[in-house]
Order: sequence, then structure tokens, then C-alpha cells
Amino acid sequence: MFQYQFLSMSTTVNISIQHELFANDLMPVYKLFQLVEDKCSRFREDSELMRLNQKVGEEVKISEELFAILEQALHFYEKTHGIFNPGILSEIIRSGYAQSIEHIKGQNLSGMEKLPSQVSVMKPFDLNKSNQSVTPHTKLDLGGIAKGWVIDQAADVLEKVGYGFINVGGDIRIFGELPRPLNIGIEDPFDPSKIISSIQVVSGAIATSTTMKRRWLVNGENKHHLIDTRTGEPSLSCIVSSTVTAKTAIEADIWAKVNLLEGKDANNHKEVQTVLINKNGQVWKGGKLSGNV
Amino acid sequence: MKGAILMDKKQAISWGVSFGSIALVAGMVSYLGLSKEYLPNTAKQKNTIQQTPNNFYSERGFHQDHDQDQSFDNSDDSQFNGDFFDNGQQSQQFDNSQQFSHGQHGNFDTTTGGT
Repeated sequence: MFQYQFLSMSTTVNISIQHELFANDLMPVYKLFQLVEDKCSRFREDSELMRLNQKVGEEVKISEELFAILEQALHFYEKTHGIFNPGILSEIIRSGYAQSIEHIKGQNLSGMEKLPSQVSVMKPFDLNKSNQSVTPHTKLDLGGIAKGWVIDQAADVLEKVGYGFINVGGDIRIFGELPRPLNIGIEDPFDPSKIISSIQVVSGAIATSTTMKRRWLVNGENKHHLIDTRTGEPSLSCIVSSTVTAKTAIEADIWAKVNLLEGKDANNHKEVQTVLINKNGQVWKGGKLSGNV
Repeated sequence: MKGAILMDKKQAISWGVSFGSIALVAGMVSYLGLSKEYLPNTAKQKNTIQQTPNNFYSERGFHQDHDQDQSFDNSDDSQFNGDFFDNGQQSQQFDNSQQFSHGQHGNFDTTTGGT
């Protein structure tokens, strides 16, 4: 296998493919990630998303790519009954996650004003397909779903070249027909240098959500990046790591997050295969097979 | 005398031919003996081909661990119970996979753990 790496979205994009790639094979993939970062990053004031966030309540024409991502976001918002909600940027910032994670991870952000929690119950935006436009009703964050979307797009490009897999910070998507199942180690959320479980997959995608990596303190109080949309606060779920398999990276990312947030109710989503790890380090595997051996 | 010389000549030729034949045969045996090591071993080749899929991800440190517990809970209706979430007690229903300590990716093709 040949491996290629580059940095994007504050993480490393790893591509493993069965034959050597040339520049004209790899460049379209690199450009896809650049494109999505330029359009969807909330840490760039000039990104299309942040310009959209300046126009809450107004109908705004947007690019084809952003429209496609928002379509997916709305679909999963409705399917998860709001557990997945892209309209929680204000809550994320209020929890202290106002800068890219490398600036705040492990830090104690002191002096921040403690604001009351807000629960977002409104639909985050409306789409007008004929106009390719969106009317945001609140400020939006597309972090996880944009990553899933671009991984799926990249897999479609790479599939034309060969078979292998792409791993972006632990979100994995297989492309092409593998000669054997991929053997994937699931990191111990309490010690990522160790593997606590494993999963074998022959096609589709795998994603893990965890509350143990993106953590910081606000006035000495522990915070992390996964907001429970029912409370407006970082989730208090007893599940600290959720690994899910699905057909696409977007689905895997969404269900990994939702399973973690739902905790003991996570079993309801039987169309995905799940590995959950709770705060005591216990591992549970279950759910329905989806594209796996 | 002339007859004796002729006989010697014939004998010499006969010995020469015999010696040459022996040398030729010895050379061929020697050659065949050396070549045999380099002849393709079709049985070995088949084994290599069979192993290829398992070695396919072995470049750059990824390995498949045949000793690893690859048991996978395929039950469709596994249920969470209160013990798992509330009091942390061990339950026979749940998979308490042994930890695998490893270097980079250990015996796995890749890892997942969130970011």
C-alpha cells in the first residue's frame, strides 16, 4: 500500500491506496479539502459559512457545495429529531470553543463570563432548492458534517483510481473493493496510545466521537466540544466514546455523535454497527451490520 | 613397433574421448545442480500468492494480527441495560475486550478514536 498525508481541518488526512498516486491523482483530493475548509470553516472570517452567519434571518444564495452540505445537515437534523443540530454555534462558543482546538486544548480559559445555558429548539435554517439559497435562523456550525461530506467526495474521486481507505482524524471511508476486511483498532479514549477494541469492515465508513480529546477548562470547570442540544451544554453522557459503521462517512459521523449524546438510548439506531465505551472503560458492541463482514 | 604406436594412439584417443565425455557429464551435472536452486518453485509461488492479501497492508508498519481476538458481536438485538450505564458493574452481556498495547498502529491496518 502507498500512503499519502496532508494537513487539513486541524487534523491529518491519511490516504492508503494499493498503487502509487501521481500529482494529478492526488491534487483533486487535496483541493476538495481546501475547498471545504474555505467554505465551511468557522475559524475563517472570510469563509462562506461565516459570511452566511452574518446574515441570520436573510435569504442568501450559496455555492453548490455549501448547499449540498446544508441539505445533508437538514436531513439528519430531522432524522435525529434535533439531537444532531448544526444551529448551535452560539452554544459552542459560549462553552469556550471560540478558537481552533489547538489553541484551547488542555487550557484553562479564565475570566470568561458564565452565561446561562440556552436550548435551541428552532429549525436552524430553511433551504430553497430552486434558488440554491438558504435562510439561516441562527448561527451555524458545520464542523463534523462538512468533514464527513468531503471524505465521501474524496472517496468517490479515489475509487476511480484504485482501492484503499482514507482516514481523517479517525473518520475512515473505504473506497473500491478491498481484497480483505480492514482491521481497525479502536483507541482507548482514556489512553489513545492503547487499543481497547477492534472492528472489521469490508466497505463503507467508520467514525468515532469522543468527549475525551477536545477538552479544556473554563474558570476551572471541565468542558468538551460535544454539545447536548437538549441542554445547550457539553454532554454529560456516560458514553465517552462511540464508534459507528455506516455506508457513508457523513452517516457514520452523525450516528457516532448521536449515539454518544443519547447514551443509554443509543440502541434505537439499529441500522448502524456500534462500539460504545462508557466512563468506566467498559466496551459494548451491538447494532445491525451495515456493509461489514 | 608401428603397430604398437598405432595402438597407443588409438588408446590415447579412446581415453581422450572417454575423459572428455566424463568431463562433459560432470559439467552438466554441476550446471544442473546449481541451476536447480534457481528454478521457479511453483508450490512456493502459490503460497506467496495466497499470502498476498494478508500482507497487502503491511507496508509502512500496518499488520494484520492473526492472534488478535476478532470476535465480533453480530447479535441484532443487543440491549443496553441499566447496569452498564449507572453503576459500572461488570456484566456478562458486554464485551470486555482485552487491551492491545501497540506502537504506531500495532497489528491494525489503521485506528479510530475521534479527534
